[in-house]
Amino acid sequence: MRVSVLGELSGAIAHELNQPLTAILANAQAARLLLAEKSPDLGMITEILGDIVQEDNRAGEVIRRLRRLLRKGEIKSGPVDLNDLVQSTLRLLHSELIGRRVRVDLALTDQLPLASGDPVQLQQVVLNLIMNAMDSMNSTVPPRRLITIGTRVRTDAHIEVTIADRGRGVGVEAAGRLFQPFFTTKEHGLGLGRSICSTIVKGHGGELGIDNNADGGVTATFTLPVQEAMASAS
Amino acid sequence: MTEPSTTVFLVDDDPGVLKALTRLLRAAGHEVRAFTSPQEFLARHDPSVPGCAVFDVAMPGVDGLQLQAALSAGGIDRPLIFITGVGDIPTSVRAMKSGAVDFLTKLVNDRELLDAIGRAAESDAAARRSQMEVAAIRGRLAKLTPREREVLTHVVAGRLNKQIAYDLGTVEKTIKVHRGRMMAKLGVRTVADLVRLAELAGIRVQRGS
Repeated sequence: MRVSVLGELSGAIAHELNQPLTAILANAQAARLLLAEKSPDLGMITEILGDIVQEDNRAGEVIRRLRRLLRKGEIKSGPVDLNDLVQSTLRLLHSELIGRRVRVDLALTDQLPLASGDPVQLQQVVLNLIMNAMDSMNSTVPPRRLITIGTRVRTDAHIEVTIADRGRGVGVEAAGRLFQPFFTTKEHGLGLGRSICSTIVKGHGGELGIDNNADGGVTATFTLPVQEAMASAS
Repeated sequence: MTEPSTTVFLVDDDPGVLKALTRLLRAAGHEVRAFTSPQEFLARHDPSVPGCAVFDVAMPGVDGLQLQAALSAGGIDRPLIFITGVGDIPTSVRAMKSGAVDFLTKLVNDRELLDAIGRAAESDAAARRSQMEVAAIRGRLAKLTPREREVLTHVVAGRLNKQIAYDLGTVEKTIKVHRGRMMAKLGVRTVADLVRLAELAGIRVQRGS
């Protein structure tokens, strides 16, 4: 399960790790060249070593964040602004979205009440659903590649997040098995993203569903209780 | 490092990586002009400076055609080396459309990068040399009289003096004189050299009737 989450996120994570690793490598190689000179610039080499330490910490931070993401069990609960969460996830996927020529339309409700949950795990859910939406539009013509993300409050004191794509949709046969582990409609998918997302959302007292849209593509919807409701319930 | 130094226009949107690559290239003896975005590069690129460009960016919001226009400003297609993440196909495709000559995947090692820069600098220098050569030839061609130029197009088409004289309605002796002056002005001794020069200058060959 842990390895598979890595697989789902590999693109984004590879990039985040590649950056500090590239910087470390180029710095070390520069230092090696400088040391080969007759009178090496020791000040510059000291500066380079300082940057190597800093870049190494940056790589370490990526790993630590990943660990937090993958840790099973207890949910570290706190107030979560789902609008912020959507925005920060989109920032994380910024270059991925551009690279795949996918546009994003936001229909976020202002003054959205806070939800309660583990922001890292919930970000994992949002990230996974957006990645799925992107993957499903691989064979959609680029001008039509659009993901619409909405947030709203429902009357039952739940916040609802919807992520709609214009991809190939899911067949009737597949629909029933979507949340089973290892079930995938992707050629290279591991089939664990959705089941992990579903587990996380249920763990937060919410629901995750995926429905075909009337005009093609699917809408993934997940709900989370608003924070106050959660507090009064317990 | 033994390779000749060149100017590298380096574009990287990650400040840490930009700094590190700049150091590496400077330590290897190159002149580096560093930019944090393709937009900044487009705004400040100086096409008259010989050298190559190295891009390590996902190119958000960059128009490939605009980039290509900037890289080929001044009549020289500045060689572009692209550093991409593994499997970053969309960016690679766009890079290719903007005229990238070389692709390196991360983590790029110094030997590979410096070799690629060496090759790019060499092809840039060759393009600039031939551009200068063409300019020099054009300068010499400008000194020809209209008649000499006319004779030139016939000679490179492989026509004999006698035939040219007939075509132009004059005598062979006159053509010989024009031909001699034309060759002298252009600084060539043989018809083979003349043909090569005409080709470089893009002169259309006059087909005989």
